[in-house]
Amino acid sequence: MSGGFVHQALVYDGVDGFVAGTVPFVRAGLDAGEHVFTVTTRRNADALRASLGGDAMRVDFRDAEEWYDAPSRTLLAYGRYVEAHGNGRRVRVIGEPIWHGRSDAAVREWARYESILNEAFASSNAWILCPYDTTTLDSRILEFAHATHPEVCDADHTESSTAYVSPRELSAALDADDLDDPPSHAVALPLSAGLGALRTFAREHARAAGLPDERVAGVELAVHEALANAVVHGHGRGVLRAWPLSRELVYEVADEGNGLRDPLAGHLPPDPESFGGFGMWMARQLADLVQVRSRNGGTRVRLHFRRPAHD
Amino acid sequence: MAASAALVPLRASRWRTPDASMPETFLCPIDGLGPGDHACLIYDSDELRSRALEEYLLRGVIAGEKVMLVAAGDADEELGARVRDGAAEGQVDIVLADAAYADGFDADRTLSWFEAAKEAALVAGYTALRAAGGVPTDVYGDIHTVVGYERRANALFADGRMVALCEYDRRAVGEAALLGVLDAHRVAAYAVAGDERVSIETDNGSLRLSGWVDVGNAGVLAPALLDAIRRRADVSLDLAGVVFADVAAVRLFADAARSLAARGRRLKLVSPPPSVPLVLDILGWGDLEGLELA
Repeated sequence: MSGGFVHQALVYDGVDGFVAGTVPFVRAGLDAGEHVFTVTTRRNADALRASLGGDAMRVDFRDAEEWYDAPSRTLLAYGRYVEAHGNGRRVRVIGEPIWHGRSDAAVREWARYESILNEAFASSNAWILCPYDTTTLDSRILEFAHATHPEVCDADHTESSTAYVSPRELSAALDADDLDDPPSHAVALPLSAGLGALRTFAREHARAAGLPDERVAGVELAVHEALANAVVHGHGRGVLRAWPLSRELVYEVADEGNGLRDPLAGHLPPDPESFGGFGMWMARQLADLVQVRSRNGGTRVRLHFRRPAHD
Repeated sequence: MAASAALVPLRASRWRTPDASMPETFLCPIDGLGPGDHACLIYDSDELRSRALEEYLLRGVIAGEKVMLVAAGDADEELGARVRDGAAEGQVDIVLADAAYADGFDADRTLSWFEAAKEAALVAGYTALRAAGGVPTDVYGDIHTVVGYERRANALFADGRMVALCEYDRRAVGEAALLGVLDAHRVAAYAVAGDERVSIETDNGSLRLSGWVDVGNAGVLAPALLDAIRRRADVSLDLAGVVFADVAAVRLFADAARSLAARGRRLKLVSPPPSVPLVLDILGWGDLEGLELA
């Protein structure tokens, strides 16, 4: 039956469990003339291909390590993919996010991404199946899976997730913990310095952190858009900070705005009426990770950019 | 909105363009403003401001709208009188700003007052109320009040029976307030002689830009772009000297391209800074009709 949007978490244990849980999904899609897209680990992909035999050629496979690059970039990539391959027929997606090696901050943002899929694709007829490996993932991530997918299934059956919450609710829960304070070596410049000076500051820090020219342009633009947004909402009062860490460069735009913000601002393609929506969307596409915390008295936006390997 | 009829519509796709009916923000000429438009006029030259104001008011007279000018001084009163001379009896009202804001600026009172004026205009048989004026400059420092007021005012335009030109003196408004004002209005018109951050020169038929272009000053380029769109076949923008361009700048270029495409012509961006192709790619406008990157 080709219905509306479906978003399910597939809970599996080990490679064999992955295959048992995905082969029927793939075959049903191929039989119905639907487009099937699979993004998973190399190992899982190889096992699935072997199981599908000749039919493997009819499935589009991508590597998860490359695809799950940054939450908003991945969301945009999925959006464009589903749109391009939709053409009136359903698109089935097996999408297994990468969790290992991620910081706590990144895990939260990827959990938020899973949740936002529910809103981003609500009006599509895509069927997105997200595999979660119980043998490698800790319980916190499995709990997120239940909170971000309306349905949870394994190889044998499917049921509604009683722990599912709306994207707004999940966002609020994820943001309940405030950000840590910037480190003592962070350098600051007040927003009153003006956008020109603030951009120069951003560029200089990016170069000092070893980012190549092409990336510096993206950093400058992302920081600028976050700043313009802060200036508008914070009425001009606030601070830009920057600090390098061993593997990333972090900027924080802190404004003294009234703190009432749409928690999903910038997560979905922007409302053309506002500059603010464009800015945060742009920042989320350009930065490798974005954190936002809004409380009465102010908002903090942190933009993380990966640094090239250095000593 | 009055002016967007002149643009080639964007493809409707959530993931490639934000919305098929994206309104243009900077590229609307003063004579293109019409009912439904809530526009700000950013000026730094009294002469250019007067000219823009007069053109705007006359358009309303011609269109049979009720015209209301909140006059800031003698020059405005004279301008208003000239406009009134060419209008029908009772069509043009001139209100003295000093009198209107004698007790200080009160957003609630001002909004109610405009609401009532609009109501009265429609009852009297006019197609719309066309208003022009500015908040007292001593309120500029209270960004929260100014921007809050302009945002709330947007409700007055939803039914397409009012058009307003809200003027702001760039010499007195700080950057933060300016960005807030731009954010609160759908359309921004500029009456400025130039901008120290971006310069435009005509060079062998193409326009050469130097400096930086962002949301704070993108509108400064509008008159030159509008002029080029009207007069030239294809328009070439040499951006080799542009050190930075943000989303607002790219939207300006995109609007220019769409406007040219509607006339069967093109906009060529020569040597754009890296942010331009970056933004075009992220917004999915890489193959926008009428736009060429070189």
